[in-house]
Amino acid sequence: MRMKVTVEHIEIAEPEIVIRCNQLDDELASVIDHFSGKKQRLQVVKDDTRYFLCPEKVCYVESVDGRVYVYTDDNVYQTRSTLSEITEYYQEEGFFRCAKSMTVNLNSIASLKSCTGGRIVALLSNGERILISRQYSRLLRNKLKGGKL
Amino acid sequence: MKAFKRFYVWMMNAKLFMAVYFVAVVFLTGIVIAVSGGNSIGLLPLVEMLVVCWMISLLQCALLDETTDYSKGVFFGRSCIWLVISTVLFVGASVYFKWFAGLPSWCPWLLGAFMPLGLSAGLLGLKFSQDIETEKLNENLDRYQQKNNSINL
Repeated sequence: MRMKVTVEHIEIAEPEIVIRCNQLDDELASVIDHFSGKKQRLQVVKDDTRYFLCPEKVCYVESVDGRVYVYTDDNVYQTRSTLSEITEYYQEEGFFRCAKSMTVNLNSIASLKSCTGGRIVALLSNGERILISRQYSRLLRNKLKGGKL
Repeated sequence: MKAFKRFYVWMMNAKLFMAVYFVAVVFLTGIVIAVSGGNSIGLLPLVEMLVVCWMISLLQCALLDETTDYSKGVFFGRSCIWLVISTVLFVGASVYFKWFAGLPSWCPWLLGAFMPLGLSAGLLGLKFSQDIETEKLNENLDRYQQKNNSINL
């Protein structure tokens, strides 16, 4: 993205950024998020097109054969970030490692169901079901109760 | 290695069920023996009961998907099939292995009457436990999502 940058030195109480543009696209929205102190959007690719996804749109992230896929309600994207990076960066946004190769957005879970053996089945907003093993179920229960992981 | 681990966990669950059913069948057989005037269970019948319980628990793990509600749809049918097969296996084994040798001939049938009740109670217990846990989980999830949304707004 090319943009003209102009810095004006004037007497004001706090720094101000004014963005002038024809159209507010994903990339520009990501820049605005960055300056307004929000977490950066997740950079993903689909059909050779780059997108910047809001973390709240993500249902879950899965690592398959070394590639990381990001699932939303109606799309699947690929990302260069690793599963660990995404989980750590968006932890406060509700991203939770629910399996060795999967991270789920807790805000995209429609409901949970307890199963025998301490496991949990999560029904996601996109209609998919994921099985959370006993080991990760314990961490999830703790997280939902407000405890630390 | 992954398949082995999965198989290992599956076997662990089967063993857990086996232990529960073994306790149940020993208890019920004990009651039937006590009612009919007996006062002991032999070592060999105990081993035979263990083997039957092992078969029943394997059948349960194979027939009933543990992530699904036993009380609805196709899984209700499967749990009924499992109950019938388990009862037939217990009654058949008690007759074949002569668990009630020297006692009245109606003893295996009394066990056959008790067994489905005991096994159904076990399934019902599992369902109740899952329901309570599910309710608690969803309450905590709602609370978490509300808290998280208010922070991010």
